[in-house]
Amino acid sequence: VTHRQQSGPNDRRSDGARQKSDVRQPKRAEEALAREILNNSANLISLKDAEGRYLFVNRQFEKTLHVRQEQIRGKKDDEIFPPEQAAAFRANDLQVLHAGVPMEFEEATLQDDGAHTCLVQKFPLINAEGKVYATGGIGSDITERKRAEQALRESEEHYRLLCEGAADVVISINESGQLVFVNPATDSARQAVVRADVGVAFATKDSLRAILQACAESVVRHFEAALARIWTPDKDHDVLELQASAGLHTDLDGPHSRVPVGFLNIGQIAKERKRLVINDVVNDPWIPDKAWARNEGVMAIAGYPLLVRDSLVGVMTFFSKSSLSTETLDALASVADAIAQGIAQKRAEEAWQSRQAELARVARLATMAELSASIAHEVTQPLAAIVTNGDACLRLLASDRPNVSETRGAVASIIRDARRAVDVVARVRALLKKSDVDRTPLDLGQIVRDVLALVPREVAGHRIVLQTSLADDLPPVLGDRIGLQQVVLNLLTNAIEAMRDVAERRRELVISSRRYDVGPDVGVLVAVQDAGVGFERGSLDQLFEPLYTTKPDGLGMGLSISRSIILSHGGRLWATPNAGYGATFQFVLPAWKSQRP
Amino acid sequence: VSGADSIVFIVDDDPSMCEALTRLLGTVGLKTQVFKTAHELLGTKRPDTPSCLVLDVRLPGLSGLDLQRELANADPPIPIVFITAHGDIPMTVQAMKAGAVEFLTKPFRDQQLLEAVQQAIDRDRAARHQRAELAELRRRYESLTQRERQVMTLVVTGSLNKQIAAELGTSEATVKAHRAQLMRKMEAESVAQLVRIAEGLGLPPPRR
Repeated sequence: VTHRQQSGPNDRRSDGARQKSDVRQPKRAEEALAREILNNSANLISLKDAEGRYLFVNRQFEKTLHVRQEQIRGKKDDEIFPPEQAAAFRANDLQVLHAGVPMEFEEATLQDDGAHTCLVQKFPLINAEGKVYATGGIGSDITERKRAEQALRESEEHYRLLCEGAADVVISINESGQLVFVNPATDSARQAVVRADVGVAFATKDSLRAILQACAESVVRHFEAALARIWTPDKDHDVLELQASAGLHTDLDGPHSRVPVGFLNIGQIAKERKRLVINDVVNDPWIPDKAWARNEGVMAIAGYPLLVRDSLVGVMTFFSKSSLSTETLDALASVADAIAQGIAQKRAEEAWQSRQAELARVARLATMAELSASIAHEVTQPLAAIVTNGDACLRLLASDRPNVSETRGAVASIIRDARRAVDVVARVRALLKKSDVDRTPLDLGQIVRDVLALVPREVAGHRIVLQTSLADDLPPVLGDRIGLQQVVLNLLTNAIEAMRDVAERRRELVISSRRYDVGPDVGVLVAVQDAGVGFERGSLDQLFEPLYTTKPDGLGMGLSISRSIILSHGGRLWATPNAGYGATFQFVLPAWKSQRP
Repeated sequence: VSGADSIVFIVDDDPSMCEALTRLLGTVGLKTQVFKTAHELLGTKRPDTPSCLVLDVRLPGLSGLDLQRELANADPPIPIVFITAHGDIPMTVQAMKAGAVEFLTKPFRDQQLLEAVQQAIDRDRAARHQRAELAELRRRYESLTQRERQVMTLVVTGSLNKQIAAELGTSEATVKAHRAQLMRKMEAESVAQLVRIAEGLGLPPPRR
């Protein structure tokens, strides 16, 4: 075998010499050139026969391992190198001889300055019969690189420990903007920031949708979510309605705008009230739309039921382009909890407000019912007496010998009782007009302020933009404080109700008070201007009629009573449609002339 | 129309209504006595004659329904016709359950009121007649001796003179004498009539 292997190149060379003797010279020159290249390579190059005997080593090999070409040629590794090294070299050579293909190994060598590592490319040399007759090796010293790698690993480990233990936020983002590292402190910091955003959203925004949208946007911004969405259950808890969507999709009317409870992953979260985490979206059997996830690069999904005292107030979902750590999931759970608490509180406030409104309405109705019952009784008494006297009258006249004096008495009674009924009606009107006895000098500006202090909830609840322009130097008016407060409250309530269905513009309510002189007469004007539905000019006369109303649940008494109160104060109350939207209701009262007796 | 002796009491705080009612009832020959409050009526000795009460529900102080409750325990009881300017169903039900003859809403039809008042007076007259009859029977029964009452009790249960004599440990002749005496005192003409009287008086059956 040895002979054949050794003779192979010679055969080939002699073949070539025989066939092309004219190229022998260049061939020799070629070999010299090859040797020159090999000797000038920075790699360690060697050639061994199948038995492991060295055939050739280059100069770098000689230099690095302190052996000379003449010393090593024909020798095996175990005659030159320490036994362990030699055994390793031979084992690698045997692998290549056996496999017949090039292979790469890391081989340790002992050098002057200690142990070195070489990355050695070993390859088989194959003769004409296809037999491997020798192995070549090209080794490069990677000791420095190895050391650098080790140092880097140690340094990375060091920094990782530092980052994870640090209270500060450490985020690492690669050149394409993807998040590659986040330390646990970051999660707690993001959690705190987003929870703060949630608190601000609930405190400053009115509609639940706007609040939840702000929450979702904060989650997307601070947790680098691909998509964050929030659903709330409908009235019957049958369907989840999409309230907020931030990130990849912001459309609320898309295919998942209404998800029945129990359907899809979202509906399951609502039904089972358990957190759902999928960290390998593309391979998860429960993800129906994998193409979407693949296209958008969504890797992980987390879904949280929004729970407050075991009652479900919503579902939050979180889509991420990187997998989610336990710390991040816990931070998101804390955010979900803050949102859930907010929703529950918002719902409670809404319920309280509608109860208050209902209470006020019922109280108003009760007052009206009581008043009308009382009026009815007062008027019915004389009317009943009139009817009874009339009946008696007819019976007396039907007699054969009518009792004239008794009949006359009956008619006299009828007239007397009819007058009494008229008196009752006059008394009711006087009651509404109020008497002069309770009148004191009053500051109308203060009355307006007192009433405004009563209605902040109404103003906020209807998202009214309230502007006040109250003059400080108003002359006092003589009047009934409660009556005038009722008028102002009534005008404010009307203005607020007129804007109840206004959505396309700001619900502006301007209340102003100022001096209003007519010739020599000093007066005070109070105006309430709304941007509501207004009224038609044709209905202006009807506005102040009792029982006239445009409101579905209105009694139609407010303006009529208000005007009689103002009239009883010697003032006047009128309404004008605004140039733009809505109407202005205003009244003028004469100033109090204190010097007059 | 009805007996000249009957009288209608009216309790209404509205003098006009009282006057009009007096005039209307007068057209059918009924006398009235008017009171402004419930207390005024309670503090007055009413004449012992067939009567009824026309009562307004809403009164100062004791209400019409309160007065009805007070009068339920009074002797003698009096039928009530309610009138009101605004009655509701629960109020009406309460009044009718407590025995009111009628509940009228002002202004009412004269015929309705007159019929109700007439019905109330007739009811009172019948009740008075019944009460007077019972009082007379009681008086007669009170006049019996102890022995006569014992004999009466045994007679109405169907005992023969011989049995009564044995029961009381006396002679048949003595029993006969007691029997004749008590029949005379009770103004009973037959045993059957005596049995009815005993029933009316609610006499207890003889102890055995």
